[in-house]
Amino acid sequence: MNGLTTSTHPHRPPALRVENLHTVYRNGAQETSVVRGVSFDVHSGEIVGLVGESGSGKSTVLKSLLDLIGENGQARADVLEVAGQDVRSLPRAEYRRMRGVELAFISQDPANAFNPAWTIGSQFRRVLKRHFPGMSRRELDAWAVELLGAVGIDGRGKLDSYPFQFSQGQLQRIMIALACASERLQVLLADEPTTSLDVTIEAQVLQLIRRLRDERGLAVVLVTHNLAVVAEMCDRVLVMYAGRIVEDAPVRDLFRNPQHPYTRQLLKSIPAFPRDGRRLHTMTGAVPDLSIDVAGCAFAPRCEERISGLCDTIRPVLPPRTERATARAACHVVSGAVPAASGGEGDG
Amino acid sequence: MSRLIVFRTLFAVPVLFLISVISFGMLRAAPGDPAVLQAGAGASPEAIEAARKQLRLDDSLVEQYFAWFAAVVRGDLGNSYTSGLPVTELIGARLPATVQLSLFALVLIIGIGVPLGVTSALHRNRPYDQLVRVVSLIGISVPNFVIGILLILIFGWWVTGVLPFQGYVPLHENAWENVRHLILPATALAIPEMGLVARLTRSSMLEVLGQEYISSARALGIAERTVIWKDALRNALMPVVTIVGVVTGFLLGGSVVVESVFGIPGLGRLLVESFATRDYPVTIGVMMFIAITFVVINIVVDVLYGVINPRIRLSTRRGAR
Repeated sequence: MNGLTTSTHPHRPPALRVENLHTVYRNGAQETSVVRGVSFDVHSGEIVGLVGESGSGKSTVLKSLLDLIGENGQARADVLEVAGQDVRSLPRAEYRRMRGVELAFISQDPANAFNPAWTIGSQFRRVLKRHFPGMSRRELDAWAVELLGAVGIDGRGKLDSYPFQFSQGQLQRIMIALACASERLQVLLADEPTTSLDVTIEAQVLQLIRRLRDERGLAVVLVTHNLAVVAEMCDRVLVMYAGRIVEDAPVRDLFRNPQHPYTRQLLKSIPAFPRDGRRLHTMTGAVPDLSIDVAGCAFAPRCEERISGLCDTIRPVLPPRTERATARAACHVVSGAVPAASGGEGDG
Repeated sequence: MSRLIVFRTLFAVPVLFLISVISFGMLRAAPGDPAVLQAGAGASPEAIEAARKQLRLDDSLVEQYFAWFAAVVRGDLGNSYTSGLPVTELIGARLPATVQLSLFALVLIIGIGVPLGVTSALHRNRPYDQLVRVVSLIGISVPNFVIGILLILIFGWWVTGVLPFQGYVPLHENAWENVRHLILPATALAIPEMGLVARLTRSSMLEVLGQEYISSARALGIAERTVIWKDALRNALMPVVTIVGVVTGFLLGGSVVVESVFGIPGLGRLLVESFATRDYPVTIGVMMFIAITFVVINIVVDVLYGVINPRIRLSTRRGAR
């Protein structure tokens, strides 16, 4: 049912709402601002893609939401709501207890996502024990087999096997089963869940995530740099650049009519299949140094359409969301601003 | 698992054989004549010659070695030149003190070193971590006999009467006094190794805490305490087990210097005493005992690896790799 879900549900609160998320890493005196005011929401049954180059801060957004950034990092947000609950008002330990219950996480590296020292069964048991406190060991094992069956793995007799005895694709499916074991789960955060898998297995795993969304109405945030995956999976796409969201668009609009020059360049960088004989577009330059905060648009130095005197001095802002779910981009060119000595914020 | 043990035991036989040949040869190459020492100072050349005959020192080295080897295979390590007592009996008499001392030190090394390393890793780069790192570095750098002498100075001169700093009381005579007498020597033995274990645990723990499965366990909502003391520590202990194995070997071999400093009748002192009198059977007996201890501990460490890391256990069970 991909594409039928629209991105605005005026009568239901979003399953995940983030307002003005900032994440900073400190290394001695050096501060690196990796996420710089990211706001978005995800509704139940919606898959939102978070795309961008390596270093754009997309994975850090997920880690911040899960309180998984290390001790040298710090995340803060004006609003952070999970399952309709303002988690900022909760004690930290309480919020951490929501992990694995209301919101779950799938990493990009299934081979290292399991503790190598323990059997799959014991890793299931200790997670399931949290969700079903009264269950006996036998019941827990039976439930684990059930969950494994739901992701297409025959778990009978395999609970005593160790992670290294499974393939990458199997492990990713097992991780999904484990992460989604909570019946109260509402938000699934997936960090490039198929990067380490080959294409046929990738399709299986993506299908599984979509099925979970359909059957259980999960709100899914899918971090990826693979635009094919975005086209296949997402309802809505957030394009990140240098720690900020530069474009927010329904998936069809994004591919048919990309707004932000960065998005357009990204799309031009996808190889055509079958080959069209044209030279593949290569973006010039590199992701900017995040320890420096520039005054203008972070993409301006690499932008082919920049308006000098404007883009390099005044930062474009992402326009606020409207009732109609249309594409919006943080760009002076898109918003039709003209260079001026005293230009406005350019969000009209 | 049992396959692993059998394999390693078979492998140990040539190792022990080599060790025996080398130590036998080196012992005989060392200057000093047991016959002279046996006959006593100022003995006549005839008496020395008689002693040499009696000790069969006139036979060729190869003959002597095989005579010794044939006896060892039957479980007979020979008799001491000086006391005439069987070597096995001498080792047996000295073993309890060394074993007790080693175990005591081992408990300190693991019981203090590992928690120090873990907590240090958890407070990385904060004052507590820096303190632990500096203190453990000092511990590693100072030889155990220096620490022993310092402890004797403290408890024998400055705060007398708190702890005994000399001698050994057998366990069956007085358990309380036995433990009290072991506190200082065990501490002296333990401190350098404790520092080593703490530093190793710290770095290993930091490495494991950066692993994906730790984030993944946290994201699954596993309690932080469980994540650290179960998920992380178990995997972080792999290199620590290796070092503790080596340390245990050294401890059980008898700490020559610490035993001397604290006047403990252990294996280490037996080794030194026997060598001073060129009491060949005792010296080589103790050396072989230490060699066997090392071999056994290495097998135990390998088995422990399998317990900690299922990958090793399962691959040896299948006989692959």
